[in-house]
Amino acid sequence: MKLFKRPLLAYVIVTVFYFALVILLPANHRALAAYNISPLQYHTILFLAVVPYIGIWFAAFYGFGKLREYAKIISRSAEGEDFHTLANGIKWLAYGLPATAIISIILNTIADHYHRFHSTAIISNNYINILIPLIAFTYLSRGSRNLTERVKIRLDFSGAKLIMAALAILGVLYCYFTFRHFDLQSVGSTNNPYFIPIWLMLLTVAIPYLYSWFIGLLAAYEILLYSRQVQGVIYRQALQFLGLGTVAVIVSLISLQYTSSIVPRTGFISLNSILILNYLIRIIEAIGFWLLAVGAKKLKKIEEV
Amino acid sequence: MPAYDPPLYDRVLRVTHVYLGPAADRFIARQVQNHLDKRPEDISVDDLKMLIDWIRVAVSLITEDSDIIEEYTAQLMRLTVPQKRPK
Repeated sequence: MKLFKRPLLAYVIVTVFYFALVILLPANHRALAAYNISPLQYHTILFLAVVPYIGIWFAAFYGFGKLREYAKIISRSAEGEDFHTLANGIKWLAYGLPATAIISIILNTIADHYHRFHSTAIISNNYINILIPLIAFTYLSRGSRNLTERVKIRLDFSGAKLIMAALAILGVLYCYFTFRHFDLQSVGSTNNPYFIPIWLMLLTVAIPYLYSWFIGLLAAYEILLYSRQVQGVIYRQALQFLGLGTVAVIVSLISLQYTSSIVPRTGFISLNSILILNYLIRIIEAIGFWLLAVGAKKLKKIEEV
Repeated sequence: MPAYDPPLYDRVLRVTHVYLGPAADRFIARQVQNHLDKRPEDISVDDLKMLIDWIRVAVSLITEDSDIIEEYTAQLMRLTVPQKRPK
């Protein structure tokens, strides 16, 4: 698709489309009742709440665009395919940001008008939030693994232990925070904020999340390792921006998934401390995408002079 | 058995690898083809001074770290001195 070849054009289109949805879609009745506000106030609050997305999405699309340009320049080299795979992962993350936001606002609006659709909207939003990062992390993991193997950099034991420890803590806390919303006496009950039985939650949400975080953390570590140990002092200087950027993007995305999954979705904007936390994480994510773009630009410069 | 004396191009590449890592091959090939109008494997000691000048210009566009630029070009300059063969 031509749109995928022009990330900044795609960014403008999806951003305009999303903001049109924010302004034009009818106000959420449950949000109006919960905060005791008028539809105009609702739209104003929602608009202001999503304004930071303009910058965050721009950073994501810009970062992806620059990395793809670099991958294209070195496409005939040995590591060209690996950078192309990394760029594909970043593409899924960049396009995933507006995609999840657009799907979410449409599903929530439908659910607000057809109450029987509410559970479907929540379930769909939850699965979309697992699927897109999982695909992205799979690409990033494959790219980072191939890069490190190509220059014979091996994951050291202390690094592996650190990842395993982080994953164990993440996993245990995730299970604690999530499963306390469930009635553990009734395995098949869907009477919970996730609208699925606990066994389905475990098999199709918890396990994929843990797997996704594992390959995400591993990819982040391998990219960092590659950017610090690969030969070439000048090459490494440029690559470290890309490495740090990718790490920031992966870690912030895992944090976002974490907060959005342990705090059940309501189907409308929640004006609470979690929203502030989400903004902080998204700012780190945007900085990550920006660092990634800076790194890709520096690497591209090496190939152009 | 006579000692193996690697071609000049390989020696330039080996030095460049220390600074540009996986990008070294492409970088040197570009400098030689664009500025010396030769195939990379055909460079001779006579070409080396001009090549180093071009490399200095190119690298200063990539990094502002003058110490690295000096170190890199000094390493390349050493290749202009004929190497003593071990007896």
